[in-house]
Amino acid sequence: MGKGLKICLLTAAVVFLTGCGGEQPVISGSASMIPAVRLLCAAAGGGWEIQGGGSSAAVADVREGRSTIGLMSRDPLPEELGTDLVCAPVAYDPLVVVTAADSPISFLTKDSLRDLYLGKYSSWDQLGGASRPVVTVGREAGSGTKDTFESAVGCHGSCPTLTAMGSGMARLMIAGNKNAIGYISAWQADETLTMIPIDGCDLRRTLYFIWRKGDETAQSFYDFVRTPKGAQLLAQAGLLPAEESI
Amino acid sequence: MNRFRFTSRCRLAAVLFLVPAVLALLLLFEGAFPALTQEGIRLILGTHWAPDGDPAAFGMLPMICTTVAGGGCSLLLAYGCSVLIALWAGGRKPTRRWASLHFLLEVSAAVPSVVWSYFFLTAVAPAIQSATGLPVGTHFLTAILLLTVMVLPSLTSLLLSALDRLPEDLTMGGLALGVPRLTVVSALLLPAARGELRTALLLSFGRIIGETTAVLMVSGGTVSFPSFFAPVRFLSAAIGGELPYATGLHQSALLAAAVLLLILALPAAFGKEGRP
Repeated sequence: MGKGLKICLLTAAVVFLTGCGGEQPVISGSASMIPAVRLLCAAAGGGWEIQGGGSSAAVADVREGRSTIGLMSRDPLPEELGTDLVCAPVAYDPLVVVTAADSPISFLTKDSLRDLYLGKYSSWDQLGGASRPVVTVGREAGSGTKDTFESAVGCHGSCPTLTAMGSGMARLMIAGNKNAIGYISAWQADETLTMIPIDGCDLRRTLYFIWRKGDETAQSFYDFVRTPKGAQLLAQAGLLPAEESI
Repeated sequence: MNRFRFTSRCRLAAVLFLVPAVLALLLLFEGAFPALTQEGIRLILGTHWAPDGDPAAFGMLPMICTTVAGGGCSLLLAYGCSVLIALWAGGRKPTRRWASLHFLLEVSAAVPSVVWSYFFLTAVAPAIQSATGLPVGTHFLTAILLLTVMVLPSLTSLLLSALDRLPEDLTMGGLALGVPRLTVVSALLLPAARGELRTALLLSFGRIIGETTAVLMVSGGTVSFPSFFAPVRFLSAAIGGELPYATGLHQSALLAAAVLLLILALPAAFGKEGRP
């Protein structure tokens, strides 16, 4: 048996065995919920493995038994849930409209925000701001943040100047351009950005847990999240605890 | 180990590599199939990209033009710069300055693309913005400059080593005839290294076409036809940015875009010619 064969076998072993992990139940899904879920898991005594993968993958992961709890940051479609999955609201993720630290405007109404995104203004001084060009920052198709923003503001089908792929890019693009305006989750806003109050507009999306009907591990974790302690942790992560329940 | 056993092991390794590669290709085509059959020619001739629109539209022509034009421009720029560097460095005795140039090139060739991209996004784009007085600094031109900076080191390295490997007689003979060094390089050395230069260019083209992080960060991201100061989106950036969220026909259209990228990169795989 040559050295080459040994190396081959070793490589094969490494490749096949890395997939085999411990027996911990898995929480997977939307990246925007993961920081909050980390806090909750730690407070519940750990024992969960947390993975990303996105809202859409979460449904398949739970249905096929790869995950115990799925995280969704958009409203699930009825055909996605079927009859075998439970979907429960956990929290609201408030979105904020932001500009760079050196802001071209201090206040906007919902209508002027919509018109901005529909391309009706070219300079901030048309809205009483600085005399600088308007640069709108949007998000890529399929983003839950984009869906929430566009349906709340009423600017579906708009074509922003810049399109950020992911919330991290959005933050960099807005913070780096004093002409820009954009939207991100409130908990992602930091001191490099200025929040612009929007009059008459409730910008928030609902975050959900999904699990298989009758799964007690998932149910007890959800129950913990809905206790006052869980609500306090959600608030600490920058989310609003959900009012309604299943 | 005798020669026979070595060759047979090489064959085994080739098969072990080929099977997953072919499987990956099949999976890619399988994923792209719904979009290819339902959208057909509209995928590459359509000009409107709105996967979440009503009705959804999957026209990739603006992104295809961006990728091809951006790749072409940055390759041309990188080619020009590397030839200039070769004119300066070719046919010289390996001095310390020459060695430090080589070192610099190899170090910058090893810089990960995300580092260059972050530097361009946070430093170069704002500088371009204030220099041009435009509303944004992340546009087609910034992406071209970034891609050029990313392929230039490896392209120049390959070119310089090719010149290095040429027989010394070529340089010596030329210089002995009293031909200026610049003419020796441009009229003798560069033509002699033509084949390797071509290979290096094709490899760089392949890298430019496939580059995702860089163009995702500095090109502005909005789908439109390429124009130097307009925010644009490259095909690879669309795939990298939207695939994590995409489902159904949207996902399939992105995989069709991946097939398209593969086709665009084919010249890099098959266009090499043997040494002259």
